[in-house]
Amino acid sequence: MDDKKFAGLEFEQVVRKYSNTVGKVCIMRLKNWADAEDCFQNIFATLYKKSPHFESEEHLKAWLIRVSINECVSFLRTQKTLLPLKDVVNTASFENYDSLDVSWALFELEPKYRNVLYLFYFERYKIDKIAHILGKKSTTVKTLLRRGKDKLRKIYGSDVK
Amino acid sequence: MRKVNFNSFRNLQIPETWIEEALSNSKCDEKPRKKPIVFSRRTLSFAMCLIFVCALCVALFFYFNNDINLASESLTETQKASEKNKKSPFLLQANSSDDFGSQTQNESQVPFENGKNATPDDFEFSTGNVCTAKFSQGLLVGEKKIYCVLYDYTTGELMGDENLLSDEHLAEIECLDDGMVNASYDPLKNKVVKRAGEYWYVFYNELIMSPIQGYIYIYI
Repeated sequence: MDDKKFAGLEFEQVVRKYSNTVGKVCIMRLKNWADAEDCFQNIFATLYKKSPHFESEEHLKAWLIRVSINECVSFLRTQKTLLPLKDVVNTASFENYDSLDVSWALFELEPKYRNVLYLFYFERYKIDKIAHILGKKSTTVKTLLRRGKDKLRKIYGSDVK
Repeated sequence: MRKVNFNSFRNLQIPETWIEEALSNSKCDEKPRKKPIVFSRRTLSFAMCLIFVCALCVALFFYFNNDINLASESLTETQKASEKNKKSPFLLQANSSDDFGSQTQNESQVPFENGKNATPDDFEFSTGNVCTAKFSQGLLVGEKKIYCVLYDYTTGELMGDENLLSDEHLAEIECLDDGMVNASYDPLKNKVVKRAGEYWYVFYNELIMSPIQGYIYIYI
């Protein structure tokens, strides 16, 4: 493997560091473990082949998330089938730490809300950054976030925050 | 209100196999790349233009070279003919086309005697391929056509005979009652010069680069 650098990191370092991020985006988007794996491989293969220039690691991470979402969208376009949630639950092996864990509820949401909620709660991105990654306006992201939280609340019940 | 969490999703770990497979896929893709041959449109079009120009140059070279060869051959033949002319007592010396001075011919040396023939009193040859002949007698009044046969001394061949007269060697000449000669000519092939008091006509044979030497000999 030649010395390809991605924001100063070796390819192996990039894969190990951002595998969780990319994998979770794929799983969240596709709700299918096997399909998520395929997209995961494609994303890193694309990164290696194209070797774009990154100004910083943040830039690299944002690129990976964006490409992951796009890859999942194209994959779904070709597949045009969605497996029921139970398949994801069975294959993802979620560990229910407690009864208040509502990870499952994410999968009940539409993809546009899932993306925003994931980036906000899991990756801890700010609204502006989420808007930049998804290519949307900040106001749109705020609206999606608000509506996503409302829907999530309705799904898991309104007696919890 | 109790706080919910996404712990299970947050703590979800991507299997190590995915990572290993991603790394191994990139290694498989890393093949030693050969230097790519540039087949861009620009390169191909430039190469084709170059080939066309080279082919054109070669064609032009051979075309002009062929012409040069012919000219050199004609010069060689001219030289040979002039050599022979010097040697042979039967032929007049070649003169320049401007010089119309008369030279007598050795009348006993007429080579052809078949048919009615009237040999010119005088004729001369230019250094090129122009042959002029002067007739002061031998032409019958009223005759419309006189065919001239050229004898190429260099090859020893008749350019035509009474049976195989080719248009290239013909000049249609009309004999008038006052002895003058009217002649028509094909400007591309034969040029006729008429002078008062003289009967000349000129054979200009474009096809034969060497001068025609020999006897002009007329069928009437």
